[in-house]
Amino acid sequence: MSAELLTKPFFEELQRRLAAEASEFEKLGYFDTIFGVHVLPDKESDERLFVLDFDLYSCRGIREASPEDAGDVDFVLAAPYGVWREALTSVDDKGRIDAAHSINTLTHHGEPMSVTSSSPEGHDKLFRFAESIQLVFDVAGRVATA
Amino acid sequence: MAYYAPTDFLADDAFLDGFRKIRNGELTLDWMEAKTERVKCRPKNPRRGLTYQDIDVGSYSTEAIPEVLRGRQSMAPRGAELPPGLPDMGYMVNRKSDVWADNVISLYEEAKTRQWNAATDINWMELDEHPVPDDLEKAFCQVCTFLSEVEMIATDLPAKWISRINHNLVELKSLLCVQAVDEARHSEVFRKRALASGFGLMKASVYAEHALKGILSADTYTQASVFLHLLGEGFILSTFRNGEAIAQTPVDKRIFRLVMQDEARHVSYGMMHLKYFLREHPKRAEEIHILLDEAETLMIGALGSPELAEPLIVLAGKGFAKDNIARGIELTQEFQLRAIGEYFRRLERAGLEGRPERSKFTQLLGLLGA
Repeated sequence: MSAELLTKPFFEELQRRLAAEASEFEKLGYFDTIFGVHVLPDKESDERLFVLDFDLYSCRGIREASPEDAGDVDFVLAAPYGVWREALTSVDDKGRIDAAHSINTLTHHGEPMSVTSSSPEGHDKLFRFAESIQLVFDVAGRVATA
Repeated sequence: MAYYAPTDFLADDAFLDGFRKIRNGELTLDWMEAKTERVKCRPKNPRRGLTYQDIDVGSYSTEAIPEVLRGRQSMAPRGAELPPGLPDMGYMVNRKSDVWADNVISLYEEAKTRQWNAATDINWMELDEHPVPDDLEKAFCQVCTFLSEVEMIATDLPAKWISRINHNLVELKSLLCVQAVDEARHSEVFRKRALASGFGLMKASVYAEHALKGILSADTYTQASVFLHLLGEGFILSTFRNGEAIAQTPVDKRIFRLVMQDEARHVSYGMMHLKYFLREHPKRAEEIHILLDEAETLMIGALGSPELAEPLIVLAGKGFAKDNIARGIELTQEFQLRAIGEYFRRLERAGLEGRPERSKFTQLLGLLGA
């Protein structure tokens, strides 16, 4: 893949790939949520925050936001760049993020990835749309390892 | 036959005369003059289809449902003209605030599109690609046995109440119908997973069954909902998340993500129903506390039962060796503490104040020195 991982070009490519996978999202059902992907700074990367906006079955837009103010989001997934890189490049032979790096697995114990939300309703959308969210990151893994 | 109408239509000359006239083409066409609101609804988003939000208009809307449903005891659709003589269906829940939540119709529309099939949406054949040591597989089967046992309560409970709830609350009744199907599917998928393992079902749980009986026995719908949706399903949602995190195969991870989605809708409804209820009846908060005083005790029994706690520890620690068990205990306690915290936050969001201070979970943590 030509775009550097977790940069604006990476997310632009992700949005294109998500559009190409629309039928997979449609099978999973309504997917109405806005969430943040927060890249915490480490020795490999500066801090960055991207907001992914999903409406119905598709990604309506991805924007970069200030890490101090994600805006109107349901929840934010935050992890150091190295954790994101490891997860997004751990793709199995079926093109999915492998079992050890699913978003729920990474967030379940609060580390290595954390979830923040201003409301229980927003936080619960991580669970209500769990399979669609995992599909987003499976597609991101395919972008990362292409 | 338990019900006999006031009229035997075959012995009713006026009815038979009218029937003959219809057959002869002498139509009354009274229904053409029905005194109802004329509307022409269309989907706001054609891809989303015609949703309940799109038809939530005027006299047909959920806003038009009065708090007390006096004189509305039939199955006449809300907004239809009500002719005299409609029978009383004997509904027992006739107050909107006893069942309603502000997210009922959005959750219903979401739930319909996010249905899945335990027979075909799980790649059962892929289990063969990911062999798991026998002992761990048996522990997983025990978790499946427990979950198959408890999940059906969330079918039985709404099913018990649906026919008792006034038909004017049709959107809510429909949401409960989908929940009943969701939970039947959960019971199905865990039963199938255990029987696909090479072992089968393991041991039922006395502790869990007491909690299930407590849920079914709740005195009012709201009490039942708080026990089931907020307490019971809230903890099962956490158990599903934990199950996904400790599952060894992509097949099991997908199962847990799919059941997690359904469960989270039910929890979301329960939280918002309690919020609506307490907004309308702030003085009835104590009634909810009293329910939870006993319900939490029953839930502690289920969560601490050997049939659930032990296999979760074995699976989290990935084995039976001393170090594995120690690690499993650490991880399982961590998830249980987080589940308790999330439960308190949902209650707080629903407007129930002071629960952590009087909760049985707080007492338990004190007793265990956690």
